[in-house]
Amino acid sequence: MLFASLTFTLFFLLVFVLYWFVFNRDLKWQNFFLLISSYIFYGWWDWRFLILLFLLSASNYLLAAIIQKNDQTQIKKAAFILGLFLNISTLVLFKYFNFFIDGFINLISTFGININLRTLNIILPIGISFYIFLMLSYIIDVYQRKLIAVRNFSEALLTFSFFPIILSGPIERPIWLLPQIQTRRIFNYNYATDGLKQILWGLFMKIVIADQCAVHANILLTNSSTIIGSNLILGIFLFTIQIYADFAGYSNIAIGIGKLLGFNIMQNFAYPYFARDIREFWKRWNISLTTWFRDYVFLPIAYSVSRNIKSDRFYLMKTEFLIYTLGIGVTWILTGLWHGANYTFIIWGLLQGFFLLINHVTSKIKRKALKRLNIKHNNTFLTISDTLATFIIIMFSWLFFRADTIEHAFRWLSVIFSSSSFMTPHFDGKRDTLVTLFIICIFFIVEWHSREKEYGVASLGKKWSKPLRWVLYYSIIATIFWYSGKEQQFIYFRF
Amino acid sequence: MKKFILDSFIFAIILMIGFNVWPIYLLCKDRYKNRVAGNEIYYSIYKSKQKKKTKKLLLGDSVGNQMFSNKTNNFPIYSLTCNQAIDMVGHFLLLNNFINAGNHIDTVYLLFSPFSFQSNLNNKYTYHYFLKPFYTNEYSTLYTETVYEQIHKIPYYYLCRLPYILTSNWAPDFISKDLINYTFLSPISVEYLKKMKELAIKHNFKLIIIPTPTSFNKKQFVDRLDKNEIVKNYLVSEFQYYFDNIIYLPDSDFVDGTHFKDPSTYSEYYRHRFIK
Repeated sequence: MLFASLTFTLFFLLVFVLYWFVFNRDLKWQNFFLLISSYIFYGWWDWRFLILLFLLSASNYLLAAIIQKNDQTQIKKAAFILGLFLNISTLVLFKYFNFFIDGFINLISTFGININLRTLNIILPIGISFYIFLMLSYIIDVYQRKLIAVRNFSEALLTFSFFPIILSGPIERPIWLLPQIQTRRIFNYNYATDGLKQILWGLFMKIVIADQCAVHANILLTNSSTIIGSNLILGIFLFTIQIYADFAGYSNIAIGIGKLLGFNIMQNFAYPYFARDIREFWKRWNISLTTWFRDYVFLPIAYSVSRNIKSDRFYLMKTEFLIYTLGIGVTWILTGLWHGANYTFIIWGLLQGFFLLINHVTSKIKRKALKRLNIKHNNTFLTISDTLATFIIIMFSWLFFRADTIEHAFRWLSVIFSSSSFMTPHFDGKRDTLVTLFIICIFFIVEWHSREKEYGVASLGKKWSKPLRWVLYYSIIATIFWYSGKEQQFIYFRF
Repeated sequence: MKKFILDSFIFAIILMIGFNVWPIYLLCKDRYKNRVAGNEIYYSIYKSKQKKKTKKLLLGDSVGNQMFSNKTNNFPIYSLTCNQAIDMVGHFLLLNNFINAGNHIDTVYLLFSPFSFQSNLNNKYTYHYFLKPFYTNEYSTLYTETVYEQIHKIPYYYLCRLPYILTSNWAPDFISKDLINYTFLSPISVEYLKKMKELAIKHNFKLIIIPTPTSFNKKQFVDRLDKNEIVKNYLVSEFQYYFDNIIYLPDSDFVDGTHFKDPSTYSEYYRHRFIK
């Protein structure tokens, strides 16, 4: 059941009507109905995944209750470790088992030893990376006494399976989601219309921008007979737009659906391609994931290393830099791995870490140089050049994300850094690509106009009269309908 | 809540009216048929209902359509080639239309890639390419139970005649969950090849199945097709020379491994070798 499908539209219409008109009597009924709806939604993909989801939810609920009840450090710690092990091992088993087995066999074979280990035919349960991270947050927060373990079993089940966010996030924190689940939702007109607008913009991003870019990017990047540098650059550019519009579009739809049900789900994208440096980019891109890694991986590593190294310098390196390097390294290898069991994702993660380190080292120097030259930070030329430079760096790193193998990525790079990059791109469907590029330009103008708001059309037409505003919405819907019919699956479903 | 419901209702009503005006206009004027993706199918349907003096009819998939386009004059052949997605049932309906139009033919050529017979109304394009043009009362008596069974598995098959859906490229996401126990001939292909055979006997014409040129890279997949299915389904005489006649070409001759970069080179050759 894709968000951009007729099946989901009918499903959600039914859920919306029943939720606000039949099950609106009290909190218990609201939650009960949402839980049933969430399980139907998730089971629609494959009912077998429900068993895993239920078992994991129940285990996390029980372990958190044990952690909560026991002040005795040993039992508490044992339950916590068991919780971590259960969640991480499930994720590893379903997502990385074959990857690690293959890696191990390759490693052993380099020493001349050949072993015959079997890989398993495992189906990856959709959304597993997202809901397991939510469960991990829950266990860790309860252990750290930031959150009180939930008593009501159905509330716990709903927290882990809430249907707008279960497939592709945002990875909402239980610390924010649980209080909303524990409070009766009251219908709010402004909130609901805002949700509808956000869904509309999300659909526009997905169907008009992402899916169109996907069609052209696939032609440019997969047609071996037309691989020249300029084609690849255009293909990677279109993929850069596609991946943003796809995931941010999905997040907008999820957040909008949440708003229609009375929930406030965290913002996941804040116009990342307008970022002026790589650090800012990662503050704006997939915010729920990056803050998760910051809070549960980077900061714990940083604290633990800083507790163990008391001096300012560790051998020749500044301790502060060492901590940052270690934290960034581990965090970005894990972030890369989170995206998939492939070396290309690890390289992509390491690249991001490397760029962040470079940024960390150069930002002070840059600031001093600008001060000396008396150039203000908000200088227009500087803003444009910074933004463009960040965009180009990010665009080339997506190359590793898109390639099937590392060799593939390097082959692309070698073509890009050849004279063929100065040739005019030639491929079938040039006219359609130009139309897509034109729509991308309009899309970015709208996004720039709303860059301080939560999503693209949040403020667009707010001061217009109602009929005029409706004309704007009808135009967006017309464009969506015009381009619908060849929807591609959301990229982040794979993760 | 009342305001929200009222606003949404008015918005939806205007939307429904607005979005159906144009499709209904297209439908009434019959203009959608050359606007939608797969318009070559509607053109083949139109052509199949014409009375012509031709004696040789050609049916085929998109590769066949590249070689003998249904939009060009291929005299003495009359081409109704279009797309594999209409399945063998769609090709049979085109043939049936042509005969019902009062045409007298002596040979029907079926120009298909070795993989075109696998389709069983179970691919993602079935909704747009088959249901929209062919799922009408006009053809309802010509469908077998298997066809109906397959159609009913496609989500929203019953909505395919709605103006907006019919006149646009919209189709639901469909991934077949059928268990496939054949490699070459799908049940629907078998049923409708047999129906074509019956028509051939009844109207006294020859039925000749010819393979389209295939990429050398796909030879291994062709070799893996189970030829026993031909014997099992009593279609030996129709496929007697089919596999021997496959011409394998380098992959560089194809745009996507299936369709030609320059089809004209091969259409002339085919005209001389097979279609006489």
